[in-house]
Amino acid sequence: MALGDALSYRNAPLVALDPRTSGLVLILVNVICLTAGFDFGAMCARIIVTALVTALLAAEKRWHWVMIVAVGTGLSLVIEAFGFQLISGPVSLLIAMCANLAARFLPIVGLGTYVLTTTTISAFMAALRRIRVPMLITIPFAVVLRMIPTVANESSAIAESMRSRGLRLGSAPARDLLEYRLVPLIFRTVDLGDELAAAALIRGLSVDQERTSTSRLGFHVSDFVVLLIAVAATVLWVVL
Amino acid sequence: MDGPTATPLTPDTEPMSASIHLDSVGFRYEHAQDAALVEVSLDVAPGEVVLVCGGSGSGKTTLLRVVNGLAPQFYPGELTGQVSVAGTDPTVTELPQLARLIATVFQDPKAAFFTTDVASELAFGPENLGLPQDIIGSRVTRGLERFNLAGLRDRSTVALSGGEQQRLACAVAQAMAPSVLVLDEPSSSLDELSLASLAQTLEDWKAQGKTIIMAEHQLDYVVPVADRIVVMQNGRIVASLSSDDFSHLDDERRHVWGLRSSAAAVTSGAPHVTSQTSQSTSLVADKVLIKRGDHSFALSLDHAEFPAGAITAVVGPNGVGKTTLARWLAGLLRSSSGSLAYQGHGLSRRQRLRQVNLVAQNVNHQLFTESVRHEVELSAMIARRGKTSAIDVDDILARCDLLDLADRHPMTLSGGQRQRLAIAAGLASMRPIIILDEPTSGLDWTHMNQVAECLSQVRDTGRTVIVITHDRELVAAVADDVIRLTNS
Repeated sequence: MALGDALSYRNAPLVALDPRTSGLVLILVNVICLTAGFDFGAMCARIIVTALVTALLAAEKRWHWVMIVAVGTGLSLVIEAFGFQLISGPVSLLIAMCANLAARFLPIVGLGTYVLTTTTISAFMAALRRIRVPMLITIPFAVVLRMIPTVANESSAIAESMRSRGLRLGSAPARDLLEYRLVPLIFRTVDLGDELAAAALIRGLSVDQERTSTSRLGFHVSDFVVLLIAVAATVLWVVL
Repeated sequence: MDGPTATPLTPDTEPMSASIHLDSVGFRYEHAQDAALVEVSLDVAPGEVVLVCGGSGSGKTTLLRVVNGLAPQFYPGELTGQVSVAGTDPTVTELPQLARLIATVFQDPKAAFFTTDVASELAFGPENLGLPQDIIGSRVTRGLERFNLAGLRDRSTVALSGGEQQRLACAVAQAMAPSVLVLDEPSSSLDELSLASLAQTLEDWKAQGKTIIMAEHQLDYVVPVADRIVVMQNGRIVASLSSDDFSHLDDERRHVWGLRSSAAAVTSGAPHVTSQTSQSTSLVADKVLIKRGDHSFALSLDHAEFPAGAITAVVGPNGVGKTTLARWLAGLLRSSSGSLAYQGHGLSRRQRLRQVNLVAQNVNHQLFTESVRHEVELSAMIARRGKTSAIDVDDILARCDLLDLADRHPMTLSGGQRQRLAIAAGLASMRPIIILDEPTSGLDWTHMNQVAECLSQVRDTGRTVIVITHDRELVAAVADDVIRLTNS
């Protein structure tokens, strides 16, 4: 239950970014986190990006994510920056590798969670339409976005049933456990996807029909601030 | 003095009500052996409310799918005969076109919601039709007010209660301004309060002259609204009665058609006497407090006893914490306070995981293997690891009336059969306590009875059985004891 709820849209976010802003910031943060190195400019950029993601998550009161991103990434960056000089040996190498991965991926996962839980499907569809993406592409993406929390919920319900029946490592072969976990999930996902598609079609969703959009898209102060910070981080990284 | 007198013509006028004609319609799903509909002829006049009832697999849902165009346009198959709805042929008219005439309320509302928040969901259909923004805006506002959803405008659709989801599903249908409404078992998993609100919505639609065709298992709330009741069996219409005639049917007649008993019969049926097994052997829960993420209480229960060798029903309105209680009893909730004792010994959360078998609401999450027999053997295998010997799988299959189905794949079984299979697996686990969460929701009379029979077989093995249910007929049929949870 918890996983799907944690990934689904939450009631009226405090800072609702335009999906186009979210998209652009996601790209910038991904590029910075995945490719930036250890020099002064890169480190500045990574710290700024981590702070940005932490602030966005804090605005949504997702405190456990705030802790994970702020403390996790912060520690990892410190280990990355100074670790090599202080200690050596295979263990410290392993620690440094883990720190490297954590510092790169935690901000991305944190931002992904933020975007997933604050973007409504309507706003997402309206935004893609505004940048002239055809419905043929928009609809499948919207369906995927809509199904992510559903599939996560189904998956945890199946995991709970397995726990309840005493199916765990040691009581059955790992191969069987994997099968028990996946086969019902696939059946359920196909069924639920079918139901969703049928319901959407008879409510007039179509690739050929011109759609109205009532979603209030638009750039607000928060969009400019967030974009400014993300662009500033990128510029620092490139220039310094 | 001359103010503007002429009222501007609103382009948002709802279309006239429309009729439904089916002329000897047959339908067979692709890859299916048997026809789902055989020679079905049905005329629904404009503004008429027709209730379609019948046992599971009688063809109710397929009939509705032919009316709203999903069969054969979404669910492929072979259709014969003539269909006409609101002047068009739904079997060939494109679905987006039909969306202007026909709206559908589905059995599981949350699976049908396309967007993530209440207001967007109301706007979604009209947006698809390409209606002007101001009209969509007014429909959304009207829908929020009429269905008492105004306070939930920005709420996430997954955060709604069952009753709220059902109201939203009705508001969504109405926002399409249809002339024909199709409802497929809209009352599944609603408590009595929500049922009353659904009945009121049907009354309102009827007063507006909408043509309504709906399928239902729970009949009592809808029979007074219906103009006509049509009974289906094996894909055929076997009876067509006025609302009055239907209310005077005796329950024997209803049961032959696979229909549930009338409410009057259920309430007059005397509840079983509390069994006389010694209280010391019962399962006792004390001071149970479980919090939600937002610190409100999901469940607060001071004291409850469940006698051993008996069936205890737990009833109460939606949202009172019945499912939470089941998960707590089964040891699936980590953070909670309260104690549970079985036969005088306290059960820790870990011990409960081994002693309590939970048959959850959605059995599709708990059937894992390729055959009925394997499913039961899987539980037996785990029980044997705990040094429990001599588990007679055939005996268990027989108790749940599954011997003939032993080689079938669980996913090919009907809902009632899957439910019985989950119970059989629970028996094979050799755990002394079995909990079932809504085991008969959506089941017709025949399947409900088979589950009830299976439950009394479980009771005969001496187990402590706890059934969480809205189903008054099931309670009347098997419960030895009833615990009512209230919101106080």
